[in-house]
Amino acid sequence: MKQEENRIVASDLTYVYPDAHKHAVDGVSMRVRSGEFLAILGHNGSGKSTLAKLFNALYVPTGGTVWVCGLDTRNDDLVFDIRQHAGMVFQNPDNQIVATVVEEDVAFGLENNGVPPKEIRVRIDEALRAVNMSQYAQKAPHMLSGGQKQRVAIAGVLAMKPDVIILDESTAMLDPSGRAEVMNTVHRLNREEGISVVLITHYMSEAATADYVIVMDEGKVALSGTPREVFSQVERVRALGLDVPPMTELAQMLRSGGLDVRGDVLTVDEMVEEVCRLSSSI
Amino acid sequence: MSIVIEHLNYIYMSGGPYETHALHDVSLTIEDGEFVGLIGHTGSGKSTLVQHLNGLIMPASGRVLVDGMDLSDKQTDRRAIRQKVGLVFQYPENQLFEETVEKDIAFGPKNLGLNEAEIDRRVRDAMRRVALDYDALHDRSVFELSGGQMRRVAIAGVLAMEPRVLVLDEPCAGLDPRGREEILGLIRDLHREAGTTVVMVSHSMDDVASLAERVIVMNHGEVVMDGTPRDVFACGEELRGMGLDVPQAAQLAQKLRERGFGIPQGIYRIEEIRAEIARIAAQGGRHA
Amino acid sequence: MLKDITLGQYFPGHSPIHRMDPRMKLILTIAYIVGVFMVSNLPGYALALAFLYLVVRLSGIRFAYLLKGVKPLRFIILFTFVLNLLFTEGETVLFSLGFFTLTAEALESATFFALRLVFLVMGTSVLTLTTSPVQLTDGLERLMRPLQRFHFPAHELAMMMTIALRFIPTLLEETDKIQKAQMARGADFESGNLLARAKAMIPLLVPLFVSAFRRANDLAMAMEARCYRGGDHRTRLRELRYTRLDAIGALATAAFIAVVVLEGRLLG
Repeated sequence: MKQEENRIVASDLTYVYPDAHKHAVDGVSMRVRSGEFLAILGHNGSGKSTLAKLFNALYVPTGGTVWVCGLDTRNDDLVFDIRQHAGMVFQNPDNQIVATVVEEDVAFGLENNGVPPKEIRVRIDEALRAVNMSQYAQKAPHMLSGGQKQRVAIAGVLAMKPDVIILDESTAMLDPSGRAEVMNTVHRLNREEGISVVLITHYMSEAATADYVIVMDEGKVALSGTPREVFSQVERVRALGLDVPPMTELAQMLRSGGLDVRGDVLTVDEMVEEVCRLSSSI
Repeated sequence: MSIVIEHLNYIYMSGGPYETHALHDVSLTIEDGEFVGLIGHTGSGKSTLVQHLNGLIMPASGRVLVDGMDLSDKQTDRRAIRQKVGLVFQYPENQLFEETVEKDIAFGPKNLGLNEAEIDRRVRDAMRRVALDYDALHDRSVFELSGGQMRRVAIAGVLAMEPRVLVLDEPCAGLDPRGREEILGLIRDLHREAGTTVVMVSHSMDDVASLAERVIVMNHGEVVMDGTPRDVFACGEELRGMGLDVPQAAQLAQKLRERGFGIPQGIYRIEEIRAEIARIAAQGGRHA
Repeated sequence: MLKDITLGQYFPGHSPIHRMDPRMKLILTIAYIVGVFMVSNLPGYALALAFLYLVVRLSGIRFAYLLKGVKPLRFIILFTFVLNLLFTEGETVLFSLGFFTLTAEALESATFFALRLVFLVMGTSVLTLTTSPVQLTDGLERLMRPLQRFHFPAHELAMMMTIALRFIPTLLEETDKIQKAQMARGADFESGNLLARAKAMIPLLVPLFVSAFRRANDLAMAMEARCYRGGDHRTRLRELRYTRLDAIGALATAAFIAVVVLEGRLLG
């Protein structure tokens, strides 16, 4: 595969926090393809958030290499290019909005990069439209809901015209409707704009919508594959401190009861089909 | 000990341009020993209601009676009420402040004016209930702990008040699946073993389905449903209309029913739907 | 409660005063206050009041609202008035009672001092009521920019102001929540003597500081991730440009100061 088709490539990546003995990230090799929706799962302390910060040059690898759109994050001169290519949305919606007005915040990254004011105006209007927040452009951030704040944060990243958006547990503090808002937004951006997405989460229901899933444990990649391949390993996934989708769990229960259903069922609709097949085949 | 709420109304920023009617004529009774799941989307009035239960918010009209004592009455001892009704806020680890785990948990009992021996007993007991090892952790700084441990210390701080009623606002928010399991497990044990009345606010229908004996649904400041999980989760349409979900097992039951399978009403647990599917497979065929 | 503070409150609008460049408004506000401090007789204060009234009318804000801004400061104003009354020496005795002697000079000095304070508050209120915090920090940053040559941290100061403004509502909300959480554990913030009350604040202040530090940490990382690298080479969404309105404002203020000076010479 050609280099430019991969947005992020990590090779034998390690990271040790200053004053720590344990490797937070320990020999990870992986890639994010152009237009891919990748989910990185893992329990707290599994190294998934550290990995995300290595993709944005917030942390510099203590071993191995990360290339973001072909740029080596160890190179100090490339840091700002890298951050523009790979935008990051964080966990706490309150702690990443800088300005006192929504549109000013969306402009923040562009201002930092010295984009001319006229161009800034065009890009923030586009970005706010893309996350359906245009009507809130003049509002104060603290008047918004959690989901809306995260959409503003996404717009701020989007205005930089990134190739990859990294969501570092950006849905963890939201209620179900806020979570749905954020997930719908990133899926749409992935589908329509072709932006690659790296979604760090511990909600398996979100990971189930990804193209590819990586499960982290102890700083290493413990499992990887399509959501179907990963979640059908019910026992393994659970041992890694994660949930299994209820329908996958049900499928496994039915199988161990001697019924012939697929083991990789993920959704309610798939289970309905399985039950129909089951009843008509008898 | 029961909590009786009669015609409760509450208005935020009364009189101003941003006036909002947060609670509208809410009446309900929470009986001793119940496990109540309180659900509703953000802004439905759950958190406002919950803060009325121990007198942190005073009703605009209507009354709240805890163990027969009227909270609006000036004579009522607020501290006594807060001892009887323990309230664990969302992200409770944000309230920790003491140098050590032990001191932080002791904060509540100290405020109650208990003696040293009693305080010590309560701290040890509370730590045991939240599965924190006293010997290993009591003199550690709260800020060195993991997120899940901090949350358990915060819950222990409320349990050390030895409340008859424990109210928890989103106790699992932001935790990973393992942390969530641990917290839900200890709440379950508390209810089963100590017989504590539990009111749990949650966004997770699966959590409510697995624990609650009674489900109260709020929408626009009103109580719109109140019944067993079986009855409430059977109303999938109405819940979805309020921006809420139903457990996946209930969704599956509904969809299979639409396909003509004879699934009885009121199924909401994975175990139940498994038995139904096994029965269908054994009988082979549709009822329609 | 804390949320009722109207400090620096902004009244959105599109009046000519609103549309003026914040830099010009800052300069003119200072010029106006200097002008008022040069006033030394009652007709001069009438003039200052008339000028202020005109500006407020143009801005579309009710004058009564401006007076409301003075109200919280009434004790300070009263205090300076009394202080001046007691300690200004004079010869024209109006009234005498025991040790206390009221002279005409003292009365005049006290009145003028109080008036200056009132005008100071009202003048700055016009500025904050017609200029959004964003514009205000922008204006300040750009006015101070020449000072950066002497290593004056103009951009950093403006950034700090913006972040403070951004986080005040968040931290107020948090304070309320922590207070309630501690009350649920039997904490009492209301009774006891001063020492007991100060001690009761610890369970509130420690978590608040911990949270503020955590937020600061998060925010620093988020800013870094969005390519923040200080004030150099930074562009702004909003460019500031002086317009005819600013010229008119500048001329009007200059005229006011000229009249005050002339009037002072003629009558003073």
